[in-house]
Amino acid sequence: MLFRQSQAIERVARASLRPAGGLQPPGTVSLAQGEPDFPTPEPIVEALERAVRDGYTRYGDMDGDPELRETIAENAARLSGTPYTGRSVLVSHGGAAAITAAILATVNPGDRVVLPEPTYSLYLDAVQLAGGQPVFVPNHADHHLDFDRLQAALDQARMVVLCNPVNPTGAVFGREELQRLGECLSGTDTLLLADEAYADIVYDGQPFTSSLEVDSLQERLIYVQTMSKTYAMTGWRVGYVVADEAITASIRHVHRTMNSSINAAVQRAALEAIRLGPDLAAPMLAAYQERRDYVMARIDKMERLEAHQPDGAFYVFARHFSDLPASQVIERLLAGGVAVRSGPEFGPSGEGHIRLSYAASLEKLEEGLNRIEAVFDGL
Amino acid sequence: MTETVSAPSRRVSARIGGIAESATLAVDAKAKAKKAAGEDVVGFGAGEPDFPTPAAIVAAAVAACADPKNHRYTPAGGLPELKEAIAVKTRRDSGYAVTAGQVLVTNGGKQAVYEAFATLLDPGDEVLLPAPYWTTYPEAVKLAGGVPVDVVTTEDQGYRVTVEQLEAARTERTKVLLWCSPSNPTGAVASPQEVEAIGRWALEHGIWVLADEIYEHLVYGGAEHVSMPVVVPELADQCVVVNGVAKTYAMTGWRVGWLIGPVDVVKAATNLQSHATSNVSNVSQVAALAAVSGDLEAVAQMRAAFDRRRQTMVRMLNEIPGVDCPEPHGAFYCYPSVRALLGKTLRGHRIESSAQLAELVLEEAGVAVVPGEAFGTPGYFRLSYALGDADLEKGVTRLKELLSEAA
Ligand SMILES: Cc1ncc(COP(=O)(O)O)c(C=O)c1O
Ligand SMILES: Cc1ncc(COP(=O)(O)O)c(C=O)c1O
Repeated sequence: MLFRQSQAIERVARASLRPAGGLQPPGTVSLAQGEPDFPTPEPIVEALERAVRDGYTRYGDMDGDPELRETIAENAARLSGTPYTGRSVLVSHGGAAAITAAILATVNPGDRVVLPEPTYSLYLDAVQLAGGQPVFVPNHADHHLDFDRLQAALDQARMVVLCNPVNPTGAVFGREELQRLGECLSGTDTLLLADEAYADIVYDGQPFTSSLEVDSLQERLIYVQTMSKTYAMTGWRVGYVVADEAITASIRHVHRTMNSSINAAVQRAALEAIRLGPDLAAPMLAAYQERRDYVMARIDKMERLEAHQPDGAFYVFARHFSDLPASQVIERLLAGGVAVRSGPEFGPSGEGHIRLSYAASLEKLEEGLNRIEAVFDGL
Repeated sequence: MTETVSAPSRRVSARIGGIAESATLAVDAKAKAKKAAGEDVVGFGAGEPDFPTPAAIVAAAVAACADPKNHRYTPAGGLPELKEAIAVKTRRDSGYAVTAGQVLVTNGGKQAVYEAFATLLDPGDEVLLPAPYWTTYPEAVKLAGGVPVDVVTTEDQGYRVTVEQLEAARTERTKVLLWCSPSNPTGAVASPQEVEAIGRWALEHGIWVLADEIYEHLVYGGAEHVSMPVVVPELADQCVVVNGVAKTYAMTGWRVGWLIGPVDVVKAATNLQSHATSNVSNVSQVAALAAVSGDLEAVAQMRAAFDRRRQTMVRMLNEIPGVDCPEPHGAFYCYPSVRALLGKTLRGHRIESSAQLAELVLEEAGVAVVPGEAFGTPGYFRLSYALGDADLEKGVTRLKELLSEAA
């Protein structure tokens, strides 16, 4: 029978900026990855082993392990001053499912969803799945929010999606920026989806301001988090949502229809991770910082690349001076033995950029940057 | 500012309006709360085996925990070795010859059901759902933008849908038939002849079949599970099979299922999954690999226990005046009609519906059952026999004592 995929899936496939993930020739140094190169910290691994042995092998609560939800709610309540309870929390199949379920739960066909960009590519995919209308709004050249453009785009928008710290630029939107966003949104019924996947990966000892801490954002906030990045748990698949109970209730409907509950034992390990807190990940953070400094020092010396220093996450979004279209740049680099991500994957203003991940060892970074330099010098 | 603006929190997309609160959960939640409060409740609501996951599978998982490669993202569609093992297992168990490229590993059978519908359905497409059905089907259909069409079967026909009934419900918009045998909630198992007739009908009309085979190994008393695309091989091109480790290996909490279909369908569904959730938790996938590569000894033991309980339960239920239960031949559920009790009075309450009766039964007898409302057919109860023999007898006895008072 002639199979024709559904219109929704077709929309996603057509619009998605994410590449299919082609093969890298052997010997390629990859600076393309979006995940920590460290193993999960041992106490978390041990908690999983324990949970599996202790019989966390049955269906769990569809909304997530109740103890885990309570713990997440307590933390969110402490940050925000909002009395969140476990009912405001949904434990999800990674941050990915949190984003998808949140958007499917709130965005109707035709609804405008504002995406300050460059930004993580999954938001666009979820908006397409929902049949919403994505509205890209380029950030300033320094990767911070352009409020003039935002203000205009936000009119009648159902949602704005903010990635903070930003994948791919490493920019961190500070308290003032968030407050200003709150002012822009005040009096509207526009929702804010705040994805703070890299909240605990911020450098130079700078404090990070969560959207949870900004009063004017509270009533419209859908806070999305993942265990993946901070705790090097990408393969475990645990994320979560915190929002007003009514919003969480509708996201929950979608999530459980798509996923049912998620792995019971893994949630016990996530609970252990959250109890121990980001201190557990301090050695990783120190390593990222060292690598960031190294990458920036190298790029500063390159004639054909320039980049703003990232304040968070583990990516550098570098601008290159060449006339080649993005796809050819990536091809040349791959031919030169190094894989990176193409700027336009993260939105139209990513043209002329590449994203380098420094979730890689210093040796790998050195070799990768040597190759990048050689390729650009040869263009 | 205009005053017509509603609070952001009240904005919910239309597609959610279509999804009912899972009715199975409501009674379950109440029963759990009572239990937690120390009350003596016998729960017949369970949708999962009461056995532990076999030790060898647990051991494989424990070994997998510390391996850093399991801490990382893996291909969204599943570990290649697991897909291969699922293809081999499928050939072994149902005789359906498929390749690893036709397999997508999902977060339980439930995700497979949703993704199959999401991949196949456009807004307005109709899905024939033989009722009573597992609550998830209509919810997933609606989330995917489709329209569920109930095709109601009754106890008189052993809850086995006929070609005539399906044909009567077929329209220009009929896109998919949902096929679940052995069935949750009825325990009905279609005969090979019935499976073939329905498969041929679907083939003739170009209707896709979503065949949920999650209870394939739980059949009793000479009943046989046959896979529709095996009995009707030409159907393979328009058939998606859903399965998982949950029921066969007592692995409900691990969340590993899969769908099997034509390569292009699987590609599209994999693409969806790569955006929506990405890979299933790796340690679970390794555990599932151990499960499907191993033997079927554990399920044979569960089957023996379930068979014994099934016979006890169906016998005891049919001894209750006003309760009529056809013998279930699969899964681990009995689905008695309580319609003869409607309109009667019990402890001062007029019995209006099975939902209300289920609440009464929980309050008055400390017995939790799931009302037929949850499965698209009011007037019935679903009782799971995935619980210990003693509890089972105690619970059904209480039910009998209470319901015998109805007048
Ligand atoms: C900004 C951001 N959010 C969410 C995710 C999703 O991660 P996961 O689904 O592993 O939780 C990622 C992963 O790359 C990300 O970069
Ligand atoms: C008919 C049927 N199909 C599929 C499933 C899916 O189970 P899971 O998502 O746990 O694999 C269930 C579970 O109750 C079921 O009853």
